[in-house]
Amino acid sequence: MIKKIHRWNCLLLGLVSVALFITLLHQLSTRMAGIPGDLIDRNQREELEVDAYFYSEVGDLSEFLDDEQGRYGRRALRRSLEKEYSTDE
Amino acid sequence: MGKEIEKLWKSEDYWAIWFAAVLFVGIIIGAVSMVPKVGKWVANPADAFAGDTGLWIAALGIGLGVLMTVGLAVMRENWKKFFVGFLAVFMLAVISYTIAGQTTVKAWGFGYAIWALFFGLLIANTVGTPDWILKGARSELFIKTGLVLLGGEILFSEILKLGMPGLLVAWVVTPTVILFMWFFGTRWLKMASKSLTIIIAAATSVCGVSAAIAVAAACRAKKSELTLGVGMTMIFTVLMMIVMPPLCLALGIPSAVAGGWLGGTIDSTGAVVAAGAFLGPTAEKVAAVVKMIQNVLIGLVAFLVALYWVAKVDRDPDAPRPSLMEIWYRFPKFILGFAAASVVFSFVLMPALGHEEVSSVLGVSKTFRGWFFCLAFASIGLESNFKELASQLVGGKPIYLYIVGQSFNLILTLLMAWIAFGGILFPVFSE
Repeated sequence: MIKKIHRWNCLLLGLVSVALFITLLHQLSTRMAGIPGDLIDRNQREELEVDAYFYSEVGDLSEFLDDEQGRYGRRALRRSLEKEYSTDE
Repeated sequence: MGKEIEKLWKSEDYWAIWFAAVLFVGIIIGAVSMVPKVGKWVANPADAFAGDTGLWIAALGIGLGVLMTVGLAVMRENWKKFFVGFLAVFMLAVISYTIAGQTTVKAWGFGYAIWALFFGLLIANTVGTPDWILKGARSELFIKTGLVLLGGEILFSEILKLGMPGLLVAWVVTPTVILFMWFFGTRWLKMASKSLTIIIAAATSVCGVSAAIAVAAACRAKKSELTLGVGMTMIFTVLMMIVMPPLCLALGIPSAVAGGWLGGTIDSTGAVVAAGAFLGPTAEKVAAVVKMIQNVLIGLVAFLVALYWVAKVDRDPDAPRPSLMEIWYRFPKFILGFAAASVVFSFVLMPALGHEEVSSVLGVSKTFRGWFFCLAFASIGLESNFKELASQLVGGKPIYLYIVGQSFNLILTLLMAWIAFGGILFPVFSE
């Protein structure tokens, strides 16, 4: 019986650790200075991964690297991506 | 020969192909137009299930459970117990996706795979996984089905459009790093497990989690080896995502070169884009494209590893060279499903349906693939124990292999990125 209680306690401890870990990440995100802090902050606000799927379909790099205002501009691609792709990975 | 034909409806490898085919056909004919996914949330996890999302996810769990139960019934396995267990594993997958969807957790790059493994391991190593749940934890079947779905995303017809500089960085460095790590691990470190060596090499050089899964399935690695490979990759990915952009700035590396460097070295697509975006649009674009070109290599690497294992590693050294038929019998058939999906999407569906239609099909299949991988990692966690995992780390050789291999990858990729994007072989990209 004691062994069983011990096992359930360990499970509970594991779940509490997850909560503490997320809290730690949150604290780090808000307090981290400089570039890493900005990077995490931006990551929280934007869905950046979707861009990868768009860029890979656009064609030759040289075709769109200089073209921020035209057909492949960021706003257009973001609208297109949000419709087409899942963004959870 | 008769036995080989019978495998079409009795083997898990073939059923992975049939499951993926059913899902692909369902999406293409419009029977499945969306796959629900757990949303983002900040402070209240219930926000992840806003609107009808919770109901749709429950329907997805039942739907996938029924689909796979049919397969198990035809394979003459205990389908009733599987279905009940599957629902429990699916719930664990939902919990993992929910934690991964918390905005801070997501921003740090701790994806569903690490949470599914963690929760599975936590249950298995504390209260123990009940037998009825284990009946539904069919990790290999989930992995194989997810991999066949992944095959559709590998569009060969699109590669050439991506441009020579990206191809140069992704396709010269990746095979070189795999071979370097393979020889370093097997000859220098003398690692006991060849499958663990190739998993770490593929995860480091190709694209992290997906490559690790594909290669582990191709060489029939132990679950603890895949767990270790994925765990190490994810931890180092987070570190690299945070450390590399400031390093690029400190070293004064031009944006396009930095993008090529990030895209070729950071393991997960999400982390690559996040790190690249920080350095500006050029770096973000170059990083994303290099990563996507690199991802295409998953299929080729998995195919070659499967072939090498069947023909060389798994065979008795004293036995004669295996015949082509013998190689065919032992070859993991789902790898062929993976390749077939890629060929069909690249050369049949793309010309027939057009780019837009194929993109929307893949948008749906990609979410299915994510669910299958999440189910696989939850199952692996539920079936594993810490002792076995710790035994893989004895002597620290896997960590040593990863660090040396990744360091080599960093140096070689920077060199190639400079040649490709620094104005040496091709014109300099301006911002």
